Amino acid sequence: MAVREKEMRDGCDVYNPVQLSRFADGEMDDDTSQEIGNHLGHCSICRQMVEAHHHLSTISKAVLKAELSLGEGLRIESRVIEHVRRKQPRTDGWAAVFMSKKVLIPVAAIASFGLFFLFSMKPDMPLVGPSAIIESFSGDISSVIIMETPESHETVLWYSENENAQRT
Amino acid sequence: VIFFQLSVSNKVKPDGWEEPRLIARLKQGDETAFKVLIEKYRHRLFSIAYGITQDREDSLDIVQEVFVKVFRNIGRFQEKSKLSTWLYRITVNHCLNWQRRWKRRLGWQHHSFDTTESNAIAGAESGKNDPESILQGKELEKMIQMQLAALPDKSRAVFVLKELEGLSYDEIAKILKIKRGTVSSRLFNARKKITAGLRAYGR
Repeated sequence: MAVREKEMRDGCDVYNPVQLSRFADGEMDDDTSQEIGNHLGHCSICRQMVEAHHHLSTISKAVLKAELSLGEGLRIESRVIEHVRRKQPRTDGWAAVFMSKKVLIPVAAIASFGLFFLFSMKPDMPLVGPSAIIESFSGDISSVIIMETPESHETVLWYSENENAQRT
Repeated sequence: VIFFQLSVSNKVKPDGWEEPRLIARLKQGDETAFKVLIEKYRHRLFSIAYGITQDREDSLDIVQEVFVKVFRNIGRFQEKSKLSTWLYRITVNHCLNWQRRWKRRLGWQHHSFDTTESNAIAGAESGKNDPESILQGKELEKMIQMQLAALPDKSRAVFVLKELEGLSYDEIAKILKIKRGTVSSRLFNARKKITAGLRAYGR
């Protein structure tokens, strides 16, 4: 046992631990791999090192392996997709296209100009004025009603006067 | 067809989405393509993140951030490397940045041992399911996790990519943008430290 431990400590003269590590990882070229494979057949020190390497790999893989639960997987997906949707221009229908600012703002501007020109170009309309003019009035009135007929636009003035008032 | 698929079912199948097609659709901002990407890679990215951070909640956040980053930067992906290489690189960088951030703030050196896969180690080592073996397995798992946590961040990243993903030295070198020789030496030193740590505990 003591001899074996000494051998392990001193290592093998043919291959060093770094080379054996690369061999175990399958990172040596074919010729060297073949040579090391042959060497392992009769060198217990190197064989044990390679076996220890594989053993550590197996255990480490089991320790490192972490599975996502269904809920965790969905959580990732929903959050990422939510982000994707938020950052993307909506193109899922004509309504969305028309409601986008890129379309809405120019349309509103054109409509405003249209309305402005429509009213400014309108021909002069005859002014509707009173059909009777009260030239003068003196006296006291208690109440007044002013009305206009719907079609002939005649103004009807009705008032209630006191004793000294005059009607024109 | 895409609209119909979205409205009927949220579940997407990654089969039939070859990488060039997937990348092209991702670059178009196709939501279905992102669902395929998430379905295809979330487990692997989570394993890597968990291997490096040793924290379940943080790993979930990191994976989420990685996918969001992919969404933002897919236009810049030049397809000189595989999509998986790019994803792994983003994940590892995120993990390392996350640890730098927390180490600065809290002097981070915490590990969570509440994994539900604790029994896996017992099975992996002995193939037995009796309570004694499971207990030994859990102890060994804790010891390895402690040794892992004590490794330098960059060595742990190399170790995780090798042992968990089984990537070659060249692939790891590409992901971490380091030399192949550096991968070899970091890996060797990581194993040496873990083995020495386990010996100290009498394993």
